[in-house]
Amino acid sequence: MRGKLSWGAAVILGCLAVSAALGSTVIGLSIEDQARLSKWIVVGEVQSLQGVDHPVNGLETAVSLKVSDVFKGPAKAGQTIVFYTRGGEANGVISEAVGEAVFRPGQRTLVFIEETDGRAYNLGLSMGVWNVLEPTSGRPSFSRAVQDGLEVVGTTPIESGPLSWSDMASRVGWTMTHPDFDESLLRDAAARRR
Amino acid sequence: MAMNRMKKALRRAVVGVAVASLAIPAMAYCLTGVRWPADAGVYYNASGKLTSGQCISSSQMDSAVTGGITPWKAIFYAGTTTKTANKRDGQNTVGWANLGGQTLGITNYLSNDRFRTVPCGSNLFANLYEADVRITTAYRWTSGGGQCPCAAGSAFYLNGVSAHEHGHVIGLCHVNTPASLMYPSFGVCENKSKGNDESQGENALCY
Repeated sequence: MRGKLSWGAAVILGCLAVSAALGSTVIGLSIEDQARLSKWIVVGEVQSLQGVDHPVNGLETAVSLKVSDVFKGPAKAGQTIVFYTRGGEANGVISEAVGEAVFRPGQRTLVFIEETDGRAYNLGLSMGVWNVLEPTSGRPSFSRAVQDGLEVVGTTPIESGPLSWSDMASRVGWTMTHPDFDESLLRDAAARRR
Repeated sequence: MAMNRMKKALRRAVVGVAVASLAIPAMAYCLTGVRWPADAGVYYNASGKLTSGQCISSSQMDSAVTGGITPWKAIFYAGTTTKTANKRDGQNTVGWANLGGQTLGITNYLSNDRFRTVPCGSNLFANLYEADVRITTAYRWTSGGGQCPCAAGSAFYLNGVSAHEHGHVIGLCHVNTPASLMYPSFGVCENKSKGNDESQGENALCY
């Protein structure tokens, strides 16, 4: 009874929702597989957001991130790196990519960044972005900053956190010496690319 | 006496809520708050499609993509185009793109009213004017006309993903019913198509 009421309330609230939550589709992956797909995994502060109109990929947002900590990749603390999101605003036109991460200047974030056709993107829309939870003492932890509207395919459970700094570091680090994907689809896709 | 009346009223209320909660699965749809003011054409750009290593032929891939448009009331397949998805160009486009290692499909809203002014039933909706869909070239696809897994390996049902994405395009959001096309999760080799839940959603959108 209690479950039914909660579920019913969720449906009713969903039906009354004001926001235009459409959908995009991602594969559910372990943190390790996300790490294997990523060229960079960094913690940093968002410096600026700039809409761009890419000739092939359309409207995107260039996110400038000042790196403070590096879990993976050729980056250094203090360096600013730029990656792109799959929607943006340019020349007065807005393209809202549903399920994409939302950034704001000044925000501290952990981002899994992949390189696609020579261009850096946060991995798997908002699936590749984590909130940095600042404790009163000690190192921060992370919670996944997934946005509404994402459809997840596959059977891998999605970890939302919070995940401690040391857990994240050790799990990402483990993939450096264990490069084979857990997910057979990724092994298959990697073989197709070779 | 008054206590008994209160107890009876409470019992009726509980029964009423229970009946209401049991009735909800019969209308398991969710509306995003936007709707098309008139039937909208969706164009297909087949360029960039990767045909090698798939479970289905190139033409079956095309049919699966466009077949995800045709079940819906508010949109129709309008033909092929050379226009690029995720560009505001006055055309709703579904096309192919390398979306990286984890993303299978992206829906982009490119033009919609920010305020809800259009009455439909007891709800108000905002008009939607342009939306594009991109499907990844990075993974293997199959369809109702193919096998899964096929000799090449496991795959995703392209017709199911296309139908799901276009369900969002007409104004439906995710539901909590696993069997529904608009459930936000499905498995490898799991095929789904539009059903009664989605038809009721269309009706609620006054299409």
